[in-house]
Formats: sequence, structure tokens, C-alpha cells
Amino acid sequence: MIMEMVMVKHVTPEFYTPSDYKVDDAKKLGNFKWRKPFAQEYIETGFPKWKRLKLSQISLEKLKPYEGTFLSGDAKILKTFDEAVEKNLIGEFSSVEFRGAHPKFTLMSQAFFNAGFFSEIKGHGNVFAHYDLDSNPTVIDNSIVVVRSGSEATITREVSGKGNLRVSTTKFIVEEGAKLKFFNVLIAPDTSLSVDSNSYIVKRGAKVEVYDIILGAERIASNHEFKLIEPEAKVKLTSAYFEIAQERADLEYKLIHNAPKTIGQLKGNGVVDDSAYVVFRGNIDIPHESYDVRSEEEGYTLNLSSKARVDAIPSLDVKNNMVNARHAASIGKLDEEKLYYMMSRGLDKRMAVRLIIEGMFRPIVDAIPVKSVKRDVEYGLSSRI
Amino acid sequence: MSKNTKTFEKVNYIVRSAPGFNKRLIEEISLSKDEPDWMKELRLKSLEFFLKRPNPNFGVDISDFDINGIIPYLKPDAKKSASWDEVPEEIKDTFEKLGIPEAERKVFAGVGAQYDSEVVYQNIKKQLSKLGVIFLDMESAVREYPEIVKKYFMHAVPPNDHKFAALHGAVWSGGSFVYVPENVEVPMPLQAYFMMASPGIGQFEHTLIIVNKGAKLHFIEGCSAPKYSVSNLHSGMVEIYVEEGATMRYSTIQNWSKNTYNLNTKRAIVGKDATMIWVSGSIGSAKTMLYPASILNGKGARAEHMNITYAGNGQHLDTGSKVIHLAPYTSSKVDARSISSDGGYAFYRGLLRVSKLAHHVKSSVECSALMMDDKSTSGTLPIMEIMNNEADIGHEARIGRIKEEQIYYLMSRGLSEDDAKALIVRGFMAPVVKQLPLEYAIEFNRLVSMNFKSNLG
Amino acid sequence: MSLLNISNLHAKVNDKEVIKGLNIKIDYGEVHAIMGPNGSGKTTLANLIMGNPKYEITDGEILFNGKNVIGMPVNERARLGIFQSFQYPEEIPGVTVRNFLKLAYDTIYPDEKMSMFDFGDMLIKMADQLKIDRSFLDRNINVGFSGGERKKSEILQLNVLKPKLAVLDETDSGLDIDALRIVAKGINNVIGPDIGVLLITHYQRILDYVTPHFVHVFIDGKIVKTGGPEMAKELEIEGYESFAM
Repeated sequence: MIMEMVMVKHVTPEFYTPSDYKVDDAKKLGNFKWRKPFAQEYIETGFPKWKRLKLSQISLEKLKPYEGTFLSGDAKILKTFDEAVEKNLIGEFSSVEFRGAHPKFTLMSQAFFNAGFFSEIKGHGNVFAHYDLDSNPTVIDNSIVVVRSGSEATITREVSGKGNLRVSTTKFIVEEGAKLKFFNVLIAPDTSLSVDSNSYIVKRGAKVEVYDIILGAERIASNHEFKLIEPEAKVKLTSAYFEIAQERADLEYKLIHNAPKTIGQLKGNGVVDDSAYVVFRGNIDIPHESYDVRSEEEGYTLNLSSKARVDAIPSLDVKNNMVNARHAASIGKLDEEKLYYMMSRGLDKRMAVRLIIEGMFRPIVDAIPVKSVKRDVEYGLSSRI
Repeated sequence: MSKNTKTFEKVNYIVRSAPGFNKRLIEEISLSKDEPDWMKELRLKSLEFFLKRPNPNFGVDISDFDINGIIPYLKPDAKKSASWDEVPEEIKDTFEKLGIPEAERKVFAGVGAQYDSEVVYQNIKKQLSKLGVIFLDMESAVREYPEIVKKYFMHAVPPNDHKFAALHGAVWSGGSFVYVPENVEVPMPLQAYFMMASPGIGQFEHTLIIVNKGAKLHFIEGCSAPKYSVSNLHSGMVEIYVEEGATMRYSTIQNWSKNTYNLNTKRAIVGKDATMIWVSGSIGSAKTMLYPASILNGKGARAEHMNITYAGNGQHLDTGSKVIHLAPYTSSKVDARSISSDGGYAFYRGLLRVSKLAHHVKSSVECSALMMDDKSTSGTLPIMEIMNNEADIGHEARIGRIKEEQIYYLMSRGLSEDDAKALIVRGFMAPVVKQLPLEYAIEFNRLVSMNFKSNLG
Repeated sequence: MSLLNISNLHAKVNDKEVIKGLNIKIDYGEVHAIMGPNGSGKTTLANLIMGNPKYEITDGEILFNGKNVIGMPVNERARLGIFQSFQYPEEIPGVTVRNFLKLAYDTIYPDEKMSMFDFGDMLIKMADQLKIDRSFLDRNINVGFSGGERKKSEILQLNVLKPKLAVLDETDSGLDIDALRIVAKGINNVIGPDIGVLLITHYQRILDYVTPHFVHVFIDGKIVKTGGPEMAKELEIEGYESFAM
């Protein structure tokens, strides 16, 4: 008897559902030729049975084109993804590959998108996309953003309302010396699932700042993967979340330092309450050839309930010694001393708690450039406290 | 002690027609050890699990490990030792440099018979029996104290825990058994060293330690000189039960020769107000997976894990710790340090779990990794699962190198570059190494100096 | 032959010329003070004498007891008897002041073979003299030390290692008056016929306690004027600008 002792590659178990979309479902969405190869691969792929998110079933509604408008702003090129496909603007950009939260969902975005945009920014550009789940319970968006060399872009994306499913895939290409600020806001309580995959290619001297703001959906997977492919690329991600009730969120942020002298920073601050469950993953990867890299990760979670759960999974993988990499995490409850201090000044407990939490989110809320989004976040926050 | 050797002589028959790893082999092992039926059953059950379980999907790559390779060493008539001539020069060289006495060298190299510690051992034994402490090799314990052993053996780590636990359950051999009665404080550290009952060095030894209410024990496993073995798998197991108010300290130096896979399982169940302290140093083996675990299941239980890993050329050492808080007011502290140099790969893998019922938990996990050059690799993955909010959890990790400025500073006071590096590395390891028994700490430091060609003693 | 003789020294840091033709001569028994504004290259000079590999010498000579030391590794210079006290000394976790100094002492004085006990006694004596708490000896080098403690630790090392040439870089900065007195006492302790001292300072303050034989004004990478101790006072009143050319 020969026993094979082979290392098993980590595979996420998958499941299939008979109600899944078929290749033909993409037809009524237009641009079928473009969608078809993705759809064919899509049907071959199962849904991930995520261990921590506990995804075991999925309810899919009929696909419909997006009703209403979701896009505004000014940029050299700014089109809905459908228009961009029709006008042949996508070209080489769609070939940028990445795994995202899971191939099933990145493929779904490309085969069955009913929203999303393509934007090329030269000089200055502002883009605002707002997806309303109340009127479009299924939003599947596919987007590409190209920030040309030396340009500055501010992108704000808000997904709000009560719907069924939101699946999103976005690729960012940030060229030499360019600057990107991206505000990614999810306020979708009672929406059953949101899966958001974002990939960033960051070139020489480019600066990327991302704010991932998460205020609910029943199940959330948020995935941001930054590839710093040329020297002096710089990335800063700030994640802010507040999860309540039975909500589950699996947040994964990944810094891949593929070039020397790159700088990365992951920062996560959040609150969990009731029976919510948040997983915060921060991965830092520094390959052999990348010297003089600085990369750090910091996470703080405030847990307000004895039934809530927080998992922190920070990982560092370093193959060059001319680097500085660190991570730190802390998880705890409200600081009693702080509460006491505020209450000694006359505040009641609820007020004090509210102030502390608002204080945590304040710098991020203040940074949001679109007024209506800022208001929505403030409202979303206070309705959760 | 010599009982075992005799047993071997008695049942020294050769298996002719049973190639492979199967039920028959396991039955033979059991028979050769003159075991009670329940132990045989446990072995067979373990075998079943082993054959069914998938490999672990994390840690080191074990794809070039062949289970058939170890079969010859499992058989009762196995040639357990090589001859001195077969021992690699590199190992002999290290013995020389470390100044290990001639007689002991052969024991570490697995070619000598029992190092002549019989006299020392007899004295300790007398002292221990006055206190009511049982300290025996594991095989004898199975025969002489079946009730106690049956109650605890592979209960902390059941055979179906993971694939290598199952393998261990099927083929375990040798190891130590310690039973400390209530409120007894064992006055000297007990060393597994005395328990090398069979010629050669245990590949699948099982250590079972029970520290009763209010008792206190320090147990030392291994030694800092490299241990050479002909077989390339070491899969031992340590099970420790620390009862109410008891204190247990378990110190290990793992220094298997660099041809070895070291896949070990160590777990302690820690009761009310009890304390478990793991101090581990890993420097040897080709590949190691080792994550000592503390299950804190009594109110006020405490665990401390201190870990130092040194991965050099050709080594992949995946070490870490596992702390499970099941009861309120429990606390834990993990201090893990690693050094990777000359192409070595050191990885910290940790799990900290705070269950729903475990309120008022305090825990801190700290990992630091020092990389000596750009050929080496270092990683950390500390997983934290916190299931209630009355917990105070802190974690910090950093990976970095020795600063040029530090070297310059030390050299400006006259030290050579090699000495400066060795001193900085030793300083980095000091908080953990200090916790090791003195003679091991000294040897650990000497090994570091050797690696840097430094003359620091 | 001078203890230290630097002539026409030019040096670069990060490809920028910082020392631009410096000359200085120090003999046994002499105390020299180099004064100059921040950023003029004073610390660079200390590093060049000690041999910090970060700095590149492009021209000139550094003779120590007649021997050119340029290119000699820093630890060999230490063994010859050069000592640099640092403005911001490094932290070395896990290594105690006591063990470190014993090691350094044994390397510099290999023939003495002083026992750990005798060495300990000597350390305690010096610590007491310098009003340094004895517990300090068993703390890790500079880890968690206050600014004043770091300076005292450097001076303690100076006293223990007894170099032939002491280059003291901003040993007085950031000290309160009591600490300054202690540090000055530590310096005066070693001054004598067997040592030359080079005090690098921004302020005149320490010179109230340690009297130099020579004061050099150092501006933009070279010495622009040399005088007696009285010049320090002048500088205090006139400022460095009056010396700029």
C-alpha cells in the first residue's frame, strides 16, 4: 500500500444551485458577445461555501437592466459600462486578472452586470456612482477606472437601500505619479448579500487612498487587493464598519508590495453590536526583490455586546530583510473610564456611547466629498447606535 | 528501565510477509509491548483515522515524505540505531564544538546505548517516591498504572484530532509518564532525558503528565545538542493535565538533525486557577509544525507561551501557539520570537479563541521576527476569534532586521561585526531564552555565536 | 607626533559634501571644543573620526598617533583607543549595560582578563561616582532610558573604557542643570595626560564646567576660527553669524 502524503492546496468548498443564472440570461442585458465567455466560465464555477461567512445558499432574482441613473461626474471619459463596451473603450483593461472575493462573483459581475462604469481620468476628475437597492433589488456592477499619469481622481460610490443582492467588481489602474481617492460606501441593512471585489494596480510614485465604509447588509464580503508594482507607490486604506443584529461581514485587505520602496498602510476601525460577526483580514506580502518597503496594519474593534464576535486575522509574509513590517490589533469593549469621565460631566450613558462612536468615525465622515453621501453615512451611523 | 530492552529481546521475531502500513503492523507493535487490550484498540482506531484523514492543508510542505520509509523503524525487531560511522560529519562537528562528552555524543547520535545516567536516575527516583510522585517510561506506566493512564491517555488530544495525532496514536512508543499527587511540589526539574528507555531516540514518544490540585512541576524535554535519527519523521505527543491551583512548566529544546520532519502535538488542559507555562526553543529539523496548546477550562486559569524559533539554511519551521479560553477570568500571554537566516523560513501561526462563556479574559499576543538577510523568509499569521465583549485583547507583530546603526554603535565600543550581530540576536532572544534551564540557555547562545562565527562564549 | 591630526578633510553624506577641507590637531592632555550652529556638520565629523561607514571621505587624512585610520573598521579604531559618545545612542534590547561593557572592555584590553566580580566592583564605583543608580547597570542598553540617562550611560562608558581620544558629541544637549553637572564631572574625571578630548557642542553652557584649551568655530564644514576658552563667551554674545564668511 502506497500512501501519498501530498500537501493539499487550500480549496474553498463550493455549492451549486439550480436557480443559478444561465448563459442565456445575459442576453436580455445587451452586449451579449462581450458577456458570453464570462458567462460560460461562470456556469462552470460553484458558489463558495465560505467558512466564516457561512454562505450555504443564495437567492437570485430575475436579472433586469438598472432602472434610473446612477452615474454623474466629470472626467475625460465617463460612461456606463454598457456604453463603454458598445463603444469599444474597454479593450486591454478587461484583461487585468484578479481573484477578488471569489471567481464566482467576479465572473458574475462581468457576465451579468446591469450597472457599473468606465472612466478615464486625465487632469482632474470626479465620479459619483449611487446604486439604489430600493428600486433595483439586484445590482451587479462591473467597473474600470483608469487614472492617467499625473492626474487626480476622486471616486465616490454609494450603495444604499434594502435589496436582495449586490455584486461588484472594480479594477483601478493608477498610473505614474497619479492620485486616487476612493470612497466606497455600503449602507444596505436588510439586503441579503453584498460581495465587493476591488483590485488596484498602483504604478511608480502613485498615491492611492481608499475609504471602505460599511454599515450593513446581512452578509458582506469586501475585498480590496492592492498591487504596488513600481517603486514609490503608496497605498493607504482605511476601513470603518459598524455591524449590528445578525449581520456577518468578512473584510479582506491585501497589500502586495511587488516593487521596492513602496509604502502601505491598512487601518481598520469598527464597532460590532448585538449578534454581529466581523472578520477583519489584513494581508501584507513582501516578495524577495522588494527592499526598502514600509508596510503596516492596525486594527481596533469596539465590541458592544457579549453576543457579538470579532475575528482578526492579520498576516505578514516577508521575503526581504530590508523592510519594516508590523501589525497590531486590539479588540475590546467600551472604555469604562472614558464613559465615567463623560458621565461625570452630566451626559447620560447613551449619549456618551454615541459620542465615543461618532468620534471614532468622525475623521472618515469628514473626508467624504459628496454631501448627500456624508449625510447618508451620518444617518446610517446614528440609526445603528 | 531495562525492562523494555528485555521485552525487545523476548519478542524479537521478524515479520516476513506484511509489507506496508496496516493493521497487522499495529497489532505487532502492541503485542511486542505486552499491552492491555484497550491500548491495542486505541492503536487500531487511530490507524483507521490516519488512513481516512486528509493531510493538513497548511504549514510545511510534506510532499516528499514517504510513510513507507518509517515502517522499518516501527517493527519490534527494528534496528533503531545507526552506527557512529553513519552519523553525518556536520553533526559530529557540532558535538565537538559544543564540547559534548564522548559518551553522550553517541546517545544524541542515536548510536549509543542508554547514556549512563542510571545512578543519577535511581537517586531521583528514591526522592520522588518519598513524595508519592510517579515518574516512569510510558510503556511501563501502561502496564503498572492502567487505571490512571486509561483515564488520561489521548483524551486531551483524541486520535481523530488531526492526521498526525492519529498516526501517533497508532504507532506511539516510549516517552514519559509523570503523576504528581495533590499539593506536592517537585523540588527539581524532571528531565525526559532519563526516559530514553530504548536504544536510539524516540520518534513517536508519548508524554503524559498529570499535576494534581495545588501541585507544582517543571518538566524538561529534549536537550540542545542536535539529535540524529535514522528515520526522518518525529511525531511525538505531549498531554498535560494541570488541575485546580496547580502550576506546570514545560520546557523544550527541539534540535533534531536537519534531515527530520518534526510534526508534534502538545496540549495542556488547564483547570481552575491553575497555571501552564510553555517554553519552547526550536532550532533543529528540516521542517517543523509545532503549536503547543493551552485549553483554559477552569475559571482563573492562566497560560504563558514563550517561543523562540531559529530557522537556518534549508529549514522551514512553522511554529506557534494555540490558546483556547473556555472559562471566565482566564488569561494568556504569548511571546513568540523568530530568527530566519541564511535562506531559512520561520513562520508564526497562532490561534487565540475566546469563547462566548469566557468573559473577563485578558490576552496579549506578541510576535517579533528578525530577518538576517534577504535570502530568508519570515511570516506571521495570528488568528484571533473573540466571541464576547468582556475581553481585553491585544496583539502586536513586527518583522524587521538588525539596524546598521545598532551594529555601528556596538562596533564603536570595540566589538567585531560578527560579535555585534551575535550579541544583538542574543539580546533579541534573551527574554525567552532566559526562561530555559541555564545550561540550555548557555548552549542556545553558543549555537547562535557559532552561526555568526562569533567568539562570544 | 600628535594624538589626532586631521588635514584637508573632505567628506560626503548621501552624495552631498558636508565636510569641506577641515584641519585640526589634538595632543594628549588637551581639551578641544568645537562649536557651531545646527546642521553645520559637527556630528559628521565625530562619525568620520570613529569611522561610520555611512560617510564617504573624498579627500584628506585622519592620523591617529601618526597612523592613517581612514578605511579602518570602526571596531579596530575603538581598540586603538578612539571613543565616540553619541547624541542619540541606539537601543539594544535584551543586552544589559553590565554585560555589554564587560565584553567591550575585554576586547579593548584583552590582556587584563578582569573577572566579572572585579569588573562589577569597578562599575559600581563609577556608577556611584557619577550618581547613576546601580540598578541601571542591569537594564538593557538604552532601552527605555530617558534623555539624561542616555547621556549618563555614554559618560559611564567613557569612564570605563578609558580611551586615548574621546569625541563627545552634544553630550550636554537636553540636560537639566543637575544632570549637566554630573556629565561634566564624568568628563573631568577622565581628562589628564593620557587622553585628548574633543567636545562637540552647540551651546557654551557645558564649557562653564569643562574648561577647554582650545575653542574652534565650525561653520559649513570647516573650522573658521580658533581661539582660547574666552572665545566661547564671545560666541555666546555675538552668535555664529559674525563668524560666517
